[in-house]
Formats: sequence, structure tokens, C-alpha cells
Amino acid sequence: MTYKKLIILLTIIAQTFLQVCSDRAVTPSEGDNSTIIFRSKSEKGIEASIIFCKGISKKTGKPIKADTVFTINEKAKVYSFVQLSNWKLNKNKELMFHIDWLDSTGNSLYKKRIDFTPSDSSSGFISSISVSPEKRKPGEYQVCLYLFRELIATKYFRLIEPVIISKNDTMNNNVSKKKIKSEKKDGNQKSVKPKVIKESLKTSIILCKKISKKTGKPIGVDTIFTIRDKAKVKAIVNFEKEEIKTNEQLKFYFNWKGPDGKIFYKKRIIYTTSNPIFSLSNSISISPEKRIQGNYKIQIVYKKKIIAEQKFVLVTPYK
Amino acid sequence: MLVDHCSYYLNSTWEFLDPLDPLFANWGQAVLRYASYLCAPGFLLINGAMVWWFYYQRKNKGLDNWSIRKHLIQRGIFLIFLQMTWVNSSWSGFNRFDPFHLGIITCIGFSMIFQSFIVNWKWELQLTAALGILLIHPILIKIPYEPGNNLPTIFMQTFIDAGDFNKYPVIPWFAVALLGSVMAHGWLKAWDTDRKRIYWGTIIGISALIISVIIRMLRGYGNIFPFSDFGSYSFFFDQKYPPSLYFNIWFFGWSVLVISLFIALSKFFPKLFLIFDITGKTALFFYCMHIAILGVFSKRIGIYYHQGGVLETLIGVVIMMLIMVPLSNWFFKFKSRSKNPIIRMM
Repeated sequence: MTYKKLIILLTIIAQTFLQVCSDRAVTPSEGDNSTIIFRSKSEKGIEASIIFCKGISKKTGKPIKADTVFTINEKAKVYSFVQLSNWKLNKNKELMFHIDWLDSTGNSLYKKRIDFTPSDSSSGFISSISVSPEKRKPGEYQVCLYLFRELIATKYFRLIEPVIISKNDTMNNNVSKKKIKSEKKDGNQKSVKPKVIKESLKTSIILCKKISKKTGKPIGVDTIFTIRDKAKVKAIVNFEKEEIKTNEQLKFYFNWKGPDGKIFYKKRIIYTTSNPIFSLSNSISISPEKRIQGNYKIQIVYKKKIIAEQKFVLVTPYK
Repeated sequence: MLVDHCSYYLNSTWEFLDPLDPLFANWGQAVLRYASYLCAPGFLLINGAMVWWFYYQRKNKGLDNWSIRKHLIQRGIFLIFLQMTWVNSSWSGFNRFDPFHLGIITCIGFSMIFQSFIVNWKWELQLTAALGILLIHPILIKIPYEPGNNLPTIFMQTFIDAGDFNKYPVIPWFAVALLGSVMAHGWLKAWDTDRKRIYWGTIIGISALIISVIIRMLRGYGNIFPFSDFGSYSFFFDQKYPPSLYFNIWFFGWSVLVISLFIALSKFFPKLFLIFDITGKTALFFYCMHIAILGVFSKRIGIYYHQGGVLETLIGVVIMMLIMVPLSNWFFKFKSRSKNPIIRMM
């Protein structure tokens, strides 16, 4: 037997053995409440869904104001309400869970081990973190749930500073869209670069399924979207520019990046300033023909610098 | 060891992995971590065997017990000093001098010092002592203390428990070193052919695995972390810092089996084992240098620090082997010529 054959044989044996050791599927699927689930290989295996909420009802023990976007506030908390399925089938077993809260850089903020003894009759548990401005920054956060050290479920949520999408902003958005269209018709019209050297431009990105025509507010705000025919992901970017000049043209690029890290769609949007607070939006189709499951990113580029970015996940529908 | 250290520097999972309570996002990461679990038991086992070999080699040359013991104590102290100076600082790429914590090298140093006093005992007595210590250790772990910068923490984590001050307490690992001394009696004295070494090594290794599985399946004494089912990840991942009774017996079994496998394979693939031969002869140099190189280039300069995954870690291992094997080979030749006592101890 040659070295090569020996190494290949040992690798195959090791890989097979180690994959058998895993209780969970390698590829995740979308479960209830947009929770990304690594399903159990066993029919009797425990599965979990995560609901984020602002509070827990003392009377019913159920989540209050469930959401995936939360505002940073003094004394505010984000609760993670974990519901277990098939727990009755595992009632006589000792269960070891870990819940891990990660910040937008992937650092663990808070990790907690929760042990269930065979006498326990709970079908879930709750964990929470404070979202006060002293402790948290805006960004995408993640909760990972582990059973016996294996990742079984994960879900993202977003912390934002208070954002108001007014009718004016929507109008600005429409104006800018018209402007872009007219520019396209007119040909290569160059934008005038502002001569401001230091400028502060605050941004926040909200991803949603669509915008309500009535209220102008985002519908289906999330960071996980299911690939479906005719489905879209819409990015609403709120800008706040402290100093503006009338009729100053700001050129932004919306770069949409795929799981391979490459830009698959780039949109230039020029905004002519009239209001220090404005919002722009752009959307992509997430039909099965165009997109695959994976981690995506949208980046907002201004003056060749990334001024905001937001990760999101596209998942295939759970069958 | 190299795989784990490359992972520590290059793998992004170490941004949040807590080695005392590890969680894994996928099986690749779990395997990468688990591969290193064999190292500490293997180190202590081989070190125990080497102490036995050193003692009897010197004894046959006519040296008395105390002069041999003196040398082993000196070497043990050197290892403790080396950990507190070079090794501790090298983890950060020599960014900071951090002498006040211990690690695997101090654990080996202390074990060597302790073993020097009983290495001349009969193997049956050493085996009884080793098993006695392993059986008592789970009770010792339960001694309460308040972790912090205080004397109880220093004492507990030096000898019994694990934490920020020291992940490798002496008592349980010393027991593994004693088992190494017992095995050396077989490998280097009682079993005079490779056939016998492989046979008895396999018997002892498999017996240890069976005993450890029984301990684990009973889910009681000797277990620390619970597990789901036999054969699942959690079944294998019992606590390493400090090791549970199951952990020590399980990895003692695997270490003995791997050594038996190496003896067998070295007959068929002698060239393959040249790498292990070179690095084995300069093990301490290899350990000190590879952390220093990774520490300086990855952590201090920032080359791919915590940016990769499993594949990047494995590429790092290959690159480090390409650096370390020739370097170790050079050092071995240099060491053979040198009369400097420190160089000769490396």
C-alpha cells in the first residue's frame, strides 16, 4: 500500500466515523420564526426554535413584542425565548444546553449553560441581555443554541438606534430614484463632489421584505430571508448628515455581495441634499433561479469608503 | 499539538472558544479541537517513560539514586522556569512578559520532580499509586475555593483544579506520567521484541478504552460533562481542564494504542517516521519554537490571526512543518555538538 492510499483510506475512515458522531445535519434549514436549525438525525431528537422579544409575560410566560429588530435603550433588554420540541421524548435524560450571545464581530457577549435534569418538566428556557447604550452598539447580533456542545439552532437580531422613517424621507427616496432615471436618460452626467473635508454621516440599514405603501414603513424586517419566487430583499438605509449644503449631490453605491464574497449587483444612487435626515432604498430579487442559500452582505459605499454594511442570510424553504 | 496551536492562532473560532467549556459550530471544528486532546496525555505518558529510561540508563552506568534524582530535579526546575519565561511570553509573540501562570511544561516539570522520587519503585507499586491518584482526583476537584489572585487559587490550580492560573494541574497528570513509567517497564525491559510490544500495547490500550467506556456509560463517578448518547460528540468530549477520570483513562488507552501503531507502521513506512524521529529528538525545542514563530508572525504581526477556518488551520500546519522539520534537524545537529547544559536539556 502506498502512502497516498494509506492517507486517503485513513481520511475516509476518520471522516465517516466523525460524521456519524454528529447528532445534527450538516446543512441548516429554516425552522419556525426564521430560526436557522441544524436538524437532528434522529426523529426523536430535540429541536429548538428561538423567539426574540422585549419581555416575557409574568402571567402567561409567553413572549411580549416578538421581533428581530430592537432599539438600544436604557434599561431595555432582549429576551431569547427558546422553545424545545420532542423534549417529552427525552424527559428521562439529562440535557446540557448552552446559549451563546454573539455581537456583530462574532465575540461572545454572554454564555450560559443550562442543564435539564430528568425531573425537569420545562419545554424551554429564557435568556436575556441588556441593550443599554453603555453596553451595546448598533449592529447584527446572534444567538447560538447548543445541545451537548453541538450547534442546534441560531438566529440573528439587530440592534438599532431609534430610527424614524418619515413621509418626507420616502419622498426624498422617490425623488432620488427619479433623479437616477433621468440621469440614465441624459447619459453620463457627473456629480459635483462636495468640498467638505470632514463630515459626519450616520447610517443604519434595515432589511425587509417590502415597504408598506400606506405607511411607508418596512414590512418583514429581518436578517434571514427565504428564497422564493418573486420574493425580494429590500434595504432601507437611513442617513443622517449633520451639515448639508443645498443641492449637494451625494453619490452612494449599494453593493450586494453573495456567499462567495463577490459583488453580484451594484447600484449607484445619487441623492441631492435637502434634508439632513434622509433614506434611500434598493432591492434585489431572491428567487431560486437567481440566488443560492448562504450568507450575503450589503455594503453602502460613499466616497470609495464603506460607510455601512449589513449581513443577511438567504435560506431555502424548509420542506 | 501543532494542529491545535495553528488553530489557536489562525482559526476564527478561537475568537470565542472557551477551552474550559468548548462549543462547536460544526464537526470540522470539533475534530480540530479533539485532535489536540491526545497531546497532553501523550506528552505526560512519554515523559514518564523517558524518566524511567533515564533513571535505569544512569543506574546501569553506576550512578547512585541521588545523583540521578538531582539531574531530574534540575531538569524539572528548568522546565518550570522555561514555561514561566519563554513559553508564557511566546504565546503573545513576546508582546508582554507574563511569568505568573503555569501550563503544560510546568506540569511536566513538576511531574518529573515528583517522579524522580519513586521511579525506582516496582512497576506494580507505581501502577497502584497512579490508579490511586486517578481515583482520588475526582474527590479532590470538589474542594471549594474562591478563584482569584489568592493563595488557595494558586495552590488548587497548580495541583488539582484548572483555571486562568493553570490549565494543567499536577496531580492528575502526574498519575499519567506514572502510567508512562509503568509502560516503559514493558516497552524497554519486559517486552524484548516489537511483536510483544505491539501485542501487549494493544491489549493494554484496548482494556483502558473498555474501562473508560464503562466509566462513561455509568454516567457517575469519573464523569464531569454529561453526554447524549454512546458514540456522540458529547460522549467523547468530557472535561479536559482538569481531566476527568474517564478522560485520563480514555486517552491513556489511545496513547498506548497510537504508540503500538507507530511501532507497527515504522516497520512498513520507515521514511514516514523520520519526521517524528527528528521532531521527537528535539521535542522541547520544537514546542518552544513553533509557538514563538506562530506568536510573533500571527498574533504580533497579525498575519491571518483568527481569520481562517479548518482549511486555513491545516494549511498552517503544513507550512509550520515545512519550517519546523528542517529547523529541528539543524538544532539536533547543533545540540549533539554542544556542551552547553541548557542547550542539551532542550
